[in-house]
Amino acid sequence: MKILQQIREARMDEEVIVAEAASGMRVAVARKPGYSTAAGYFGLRFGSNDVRFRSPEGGEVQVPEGSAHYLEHKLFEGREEKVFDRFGKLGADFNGGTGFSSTSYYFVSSGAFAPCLEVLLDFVQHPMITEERVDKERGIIEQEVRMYEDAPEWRGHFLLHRALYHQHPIRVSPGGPVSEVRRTTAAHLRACFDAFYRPHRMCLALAGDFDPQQVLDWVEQWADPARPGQPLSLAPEEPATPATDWLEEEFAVSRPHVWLGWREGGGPGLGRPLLQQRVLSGLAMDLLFEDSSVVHEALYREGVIDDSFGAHSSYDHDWGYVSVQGLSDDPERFAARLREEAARFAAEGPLAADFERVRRAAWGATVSGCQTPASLAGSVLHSLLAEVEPFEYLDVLAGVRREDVAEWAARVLDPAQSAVAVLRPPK
Amino acid sequence: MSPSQTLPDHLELAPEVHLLTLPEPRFKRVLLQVHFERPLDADTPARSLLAQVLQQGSAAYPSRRALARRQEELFGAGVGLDSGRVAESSMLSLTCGCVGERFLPQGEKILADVLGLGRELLEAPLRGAGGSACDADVFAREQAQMLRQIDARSDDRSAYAFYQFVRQMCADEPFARFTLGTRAEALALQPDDLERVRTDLLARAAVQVVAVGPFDRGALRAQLQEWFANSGANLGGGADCSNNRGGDSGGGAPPADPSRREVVARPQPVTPGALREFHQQMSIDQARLLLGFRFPAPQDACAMEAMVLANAVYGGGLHGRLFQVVREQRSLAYGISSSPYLVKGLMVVSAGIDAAAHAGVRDEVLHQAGEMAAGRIEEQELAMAKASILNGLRGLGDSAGSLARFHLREFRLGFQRSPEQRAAQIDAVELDQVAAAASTWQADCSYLLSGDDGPASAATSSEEVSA
Repeated sequence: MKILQQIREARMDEEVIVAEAASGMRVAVARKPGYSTAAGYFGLRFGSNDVRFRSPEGGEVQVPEGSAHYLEHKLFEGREEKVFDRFGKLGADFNGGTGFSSTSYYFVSSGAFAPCLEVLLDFVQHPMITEERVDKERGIIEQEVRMYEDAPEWRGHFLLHRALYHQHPIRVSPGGPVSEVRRTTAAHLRACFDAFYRPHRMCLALAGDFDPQQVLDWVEQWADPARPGQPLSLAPEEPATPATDWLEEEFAVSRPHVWLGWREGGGPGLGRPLLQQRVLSGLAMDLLFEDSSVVHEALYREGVIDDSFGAHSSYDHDWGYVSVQGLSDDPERFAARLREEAARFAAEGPLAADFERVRRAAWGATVSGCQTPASLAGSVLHSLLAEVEPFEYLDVLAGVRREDVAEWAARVLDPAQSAVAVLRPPK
Repeated sequence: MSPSQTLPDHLELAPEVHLLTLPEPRFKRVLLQVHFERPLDADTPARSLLAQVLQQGSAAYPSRRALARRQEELFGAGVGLDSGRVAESSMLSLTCGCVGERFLPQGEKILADVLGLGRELLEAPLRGAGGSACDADVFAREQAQMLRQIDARSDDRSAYAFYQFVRQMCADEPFARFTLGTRAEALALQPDDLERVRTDLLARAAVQVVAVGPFDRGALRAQLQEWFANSGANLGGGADCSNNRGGDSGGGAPPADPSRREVVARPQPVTPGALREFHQQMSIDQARLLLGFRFPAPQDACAMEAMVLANAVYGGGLHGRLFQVVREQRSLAYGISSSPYLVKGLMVVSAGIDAAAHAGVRDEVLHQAGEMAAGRIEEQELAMAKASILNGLRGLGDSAGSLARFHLREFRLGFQRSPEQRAAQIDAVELDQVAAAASTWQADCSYLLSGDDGPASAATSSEEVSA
């Protein structure tokens, strides 16, 4: 195992070794002395957005929406023995998750780290995908998709994505629609696995009270040999402006649920630029809409927003947007007032005192955020997948200037870049 | 000694005011919770509204914005009030969290200020014009918001199904009372009701304080001692409470009298009759099935752990029998699990299902409960249930929140065990004890929430539930 970096983060009292296995797999280990649990997070950049791609061998492949999520489910079936049973015998917590651009699998164990790590590396690298097994899972996935479809928060979130984007795959939820789940086959899932689940594309983050060198040796022993080749995702052409400025549908809710989003023209790519946009958008939304802001107080007193109100930012390599959402009896007023206040913020920028106070709060949340081995391993994997250094967030946060937030706001919080989504109760 | 082997220091600050402290320098964040416990009674909705109103400002920080800014200045500290329920107790909880001082850039001292801010919310609320109990506009706004939350219950399908299920199953019991109450109850609240329940909480509630993380035990204890030794003495904050509608603290701030604090009684046992079935329809895609069992509340640690293991074998997780049979073998549900309410003597099975499969899922749930009661439990099932619980207990020491929850639960149950001591007791439970625990389950109530096109006569004695 080749050691690439040893990172000592004094501000958080953490240390991480980043290494590379012979196969090219990126591995990060963080020692947490005195902790009882140890955690492993294993992931890759392959998510629900990757439905059309060129395989490393050159052929173009189109798979049903939701294939990455379906594949995640199938990996948990294992080969001879179910992964549920293998982890169950070891008493470990485990699960997986599929996002738009990544998939990850994890365990948290106390006292059985090595066997859990072996199970994790085994089941993710060696699936058995047959038509019979894919068929068997279909009903379960349909139920999961339908469960999400019943949740107003979920439904409205994707309604907003459809308003903001013309073609981009984030218009569709990671599980995909039921109709797509029904046409997914073993051949589709095998094509995804073969193209994307290659050792050099995988990242592994481990944290616990263990000997890092021993752990790196285990990983080298259990990791598959190299299988070179890069798949290429074929994203549709996406215009730089929203698809529409208003989209709504009827849904069984008590009051209208409203989302308002502002999008970037494109995405920042990976690495430091992505982190920079995440920091800037997070600070801007806090400055503009947190409880401590003048805007929040005014809108709360006017009755435009209530405690259902929240703000959110989402950035990855090829998209970026910020949004607010809440319940409102008057969605038009909600949207108009929030757009107005965002435009005012974009024109005036933040006050220096506000900026320093909000940055101090963000610093506190970041420093104390990675407490357990599981939260540290999850955070480190997130950094590896974004192609940034673990803890680099703190450096970016320290270096960002008030003018940077002002520039970000002037660029993004433009009414022309915004769209509204509304779920209305049936008439 | 690791946190898994350590017992918190327990100090009774005043009669029925208990402090549990577990300093742990490894953690980056301090967690401190102050729980005020009263019965789950007609004042429960008032306590919920009180928690909301108190967070809109205090005497020193007279707006929500001012409070939020103060927390940001304290390096993103969190100070909040919340209302909740545990068994048949109504809880109003103050939660304070902040970065451990050794991680602050200049080693700033902030914990005392954070706790002080929390105390300020409760003891020095924002008053209305002329010294009235609270600002009329704030009250009206927060009451309107509470009404909207009540109206929006059905938007969260899972929580709504649980709400309706409990309202049916436990109709005449305090357990059927939820924190927000009904629309009529919320609408009837007046500003003076909030002042009455506030003074009642501060003077008469049993209090449990738990603190975990990087803090100095002596300094924290001294600050809390100063608070609770004087609790009840500083309740009015200049309020004119002469219009109180009743309650024991009417007519102004009561004198400090800590001996008046009351411990909430345990729930009364309920013996069910034949299985009752309820069915409700609304516009949803995935149906929700809930099935409730009663059992006599276990009276000692051994019986309690046997019941915990019985639930774990039955439906306590991915290794549970319900998940394995209903989801994995029969593909009838995406998720299915069971949860025990040990003090109440209740176990609730919850599943997200295709409505057409309702009868099949219900029958399988009942069948598997019967199998367990008859002792048909595999050693392997018990081993996996134990492994899962023991793994969780061994990992508790890594999280301040988990440690706080664990020791608070132990205190409320009347035990005083470390996670390792509890783990040893669980490990010692035998298969026949688990079967004996399962044999006490009695199915009481089944509730189905399905889409408009669901099985209209899915329940054998279907009753409509008004939404």
